[in-house]
Amino acid sequence: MRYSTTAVHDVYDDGDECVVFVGDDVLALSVRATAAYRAVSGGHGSVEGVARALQEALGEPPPDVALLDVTNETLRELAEIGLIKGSGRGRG
Amino acid sequence: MPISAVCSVSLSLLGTPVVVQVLGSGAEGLAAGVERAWRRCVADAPPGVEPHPVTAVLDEDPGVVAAAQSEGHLAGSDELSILDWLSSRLTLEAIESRLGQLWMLHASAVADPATGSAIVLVAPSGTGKTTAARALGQHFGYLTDETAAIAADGTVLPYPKPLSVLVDGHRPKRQLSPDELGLLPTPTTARVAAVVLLDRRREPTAPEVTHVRTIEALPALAEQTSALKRLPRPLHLVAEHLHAVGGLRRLTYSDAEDLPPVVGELLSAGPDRS
Repeated sequence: MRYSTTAVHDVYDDGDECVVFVGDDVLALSVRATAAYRAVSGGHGSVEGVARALQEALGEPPPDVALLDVTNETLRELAEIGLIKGSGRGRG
Repeated sequence: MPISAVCSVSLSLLGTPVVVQVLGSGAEGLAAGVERAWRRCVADAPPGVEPHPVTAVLDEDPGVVAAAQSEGHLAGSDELSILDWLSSRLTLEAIESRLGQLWMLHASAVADPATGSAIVLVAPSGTGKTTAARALGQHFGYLTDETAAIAADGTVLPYPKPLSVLVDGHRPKRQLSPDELGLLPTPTTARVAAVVLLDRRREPTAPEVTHVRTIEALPALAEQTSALKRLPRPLHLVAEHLHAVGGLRRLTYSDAEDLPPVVGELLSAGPDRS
């Protein structure tokens, strides 16, 4: 699965967070969601590519948390609010 | 049945010329009511500019009222109700005429009469804008109790509409002009110096001002902005306005009578750029 960004009205970056205006909603993204969104925006649309970006931005996840699980959850959240969309399959 | 008796009142709403055409057997009285309530907005359209027409019909004949309503006009047999409806209709007219040009917030606003420094007090409908405007308008120039319109350069366009007030708990709300309520004159020029999110509490609460991070301010203000997506780079535009005045503040309070000294301090302190 590869992810790409959708059209938004505006994105306001504020340090390691951002606010997005997508559809009719203005939403503040968490640091983790911002890092993932920036990775996808920057062309790292695979789950593995986003995982690497999250690791670089946030460091290693806690021992009992799998990086790929966190990444998938974050990407799912971004897709649910319409910021990104997935397509096909990809190895990263 | 033809509608006779036509009067008109010319208004300037956020710089847009609007003419209220008043028809029906009660036209004369209704026109006088419109002129009284909207006195601070009365102005002739500039030469060569066609004003936006809004038609209101006051007539005791139900057939006339029904016919006017079927044509999409504000119509009824009760003057107070028509004035109440007209207030919402004219506000919509004003807002729609400036979409994409001004940052328009659900907010009351007042300004220091001496300096023109304005404070914009953002709040959803029914949560204290008019009450705050009444309390603050005794001490500061009244700009609006409903729609704060901010231009790109920080100018706040006055929208000194009548205040919608429940009298003895009875509806419809009465449309009282700022003059009837003794509010201070509307400044001809005003510039935004502070943007505040009003947070009125039911329990007794001493006024407190806190800063709101931009990342949290943008979603909060977006909810209270008219047609945000019509503005160019809307989040950046709002953020730039906020940065120019030291960011969004939240003002927690319970009694509007406590607001004037707090607002006075905010206006005299100017933008807090800490």
